[in-house]
Amino acid sequence: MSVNYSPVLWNKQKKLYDLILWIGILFMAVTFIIFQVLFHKDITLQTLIIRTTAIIAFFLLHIILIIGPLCRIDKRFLPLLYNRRHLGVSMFLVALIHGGMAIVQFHTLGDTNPIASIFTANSNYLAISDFPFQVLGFLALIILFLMAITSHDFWLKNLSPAIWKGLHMCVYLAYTLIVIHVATGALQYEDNPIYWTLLVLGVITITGLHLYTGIIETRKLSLPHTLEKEGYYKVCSLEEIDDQCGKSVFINGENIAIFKYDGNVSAVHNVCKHQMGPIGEGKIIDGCITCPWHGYQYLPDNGQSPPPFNEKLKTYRTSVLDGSIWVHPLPLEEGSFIEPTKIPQS
Amino acid sequence: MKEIIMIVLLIVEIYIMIGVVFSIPFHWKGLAIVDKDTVGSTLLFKILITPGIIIFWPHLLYKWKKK
Repeated sequence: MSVNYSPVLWNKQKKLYDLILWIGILFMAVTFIIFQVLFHKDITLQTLIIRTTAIIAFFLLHIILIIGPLCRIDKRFLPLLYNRRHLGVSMFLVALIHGGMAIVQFHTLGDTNPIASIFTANSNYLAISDFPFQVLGFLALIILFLMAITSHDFWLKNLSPAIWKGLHMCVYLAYTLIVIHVATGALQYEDNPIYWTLLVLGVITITGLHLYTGIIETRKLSLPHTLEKEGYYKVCSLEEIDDQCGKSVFINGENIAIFKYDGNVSAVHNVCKHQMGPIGEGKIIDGCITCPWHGYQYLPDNGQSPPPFNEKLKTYRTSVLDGSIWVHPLPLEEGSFIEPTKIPQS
Repeated sequence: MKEIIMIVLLIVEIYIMIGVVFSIPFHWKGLAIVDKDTVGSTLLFKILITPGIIIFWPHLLYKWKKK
């Protein structure tokens, strides 16, 4: 939340996350190097570094891309999402070593500018078996670079959440480029089917999980809200929402998060100001709606972040009638106070 | 093909050079104007955001001039 920036937001959990991450990276590196040295006795140090960093970066990219859908399927994966940004920057650093070493090994020996050489050394752009795959890897690295340098909250605020999110959604374009980069590059020279199998399994996992969660989300949001009274729509029974928890609904084009807490019901816009996280999947912690993605907080009765923070959400009027929650989909201005609806004591 | 690539690279180099030059006065004065939450921030924070300033200088220049 915006109030004085720190270079890196670290706390006990994030430090543990990063420690486990880098131990994992080192473990993967050592394991892969041992296998490479055992099976390719004449391998050079540069090739060893290029291959090792390629495998690690590609694996980390898969982890990064499955965290989102896994969290939608099971909330126990949320701790992985909490520090995904550090995971992304770590993956970029490993990919940068891969790209840098590849440029040094393949594009610095001639008199052509090394970057120009990536695009011109092989001009078989219409071929498949001899496709200039390094171009795709380079373009993917540029996307990952732009994502890494804008990973700080300063950029989220100053590029605007919409632009920032759009830029970071380019990770899917980068992933596609990398898959083709791998398929038309290193795998063209691999006889071992295990690499092709792993690549296809990775693509199926990423695509399958995203499709599955997409279908689930669409079904959830398109649930009919048939009952309407004086502009209020019936959304669910009181029992459907656990105490201190929320529910996401989509009514008349409005994405709304409804919360039940301390004998009250309130509703706010269901999109977090930080990274557009699903507020409705969060909980009430310390009296505040807490986004499940990165812990941004808002007061349920006015949608405002508690002082000294200044993020604000739109608020919606609610009602409770005969054990059901009703909501008026016409939003009030961001930060507008609405008296919480008291739940009648039965 | 090579000529086109060289021209594109030259344009990119010029764009980055402008970004590098822009980052100096931006750190000096513009940063605090564009985002007052950066006042009192550490040198490490400023270093971390510098690559972004170099790349997104037109956007930041626009925001700076608007304020």
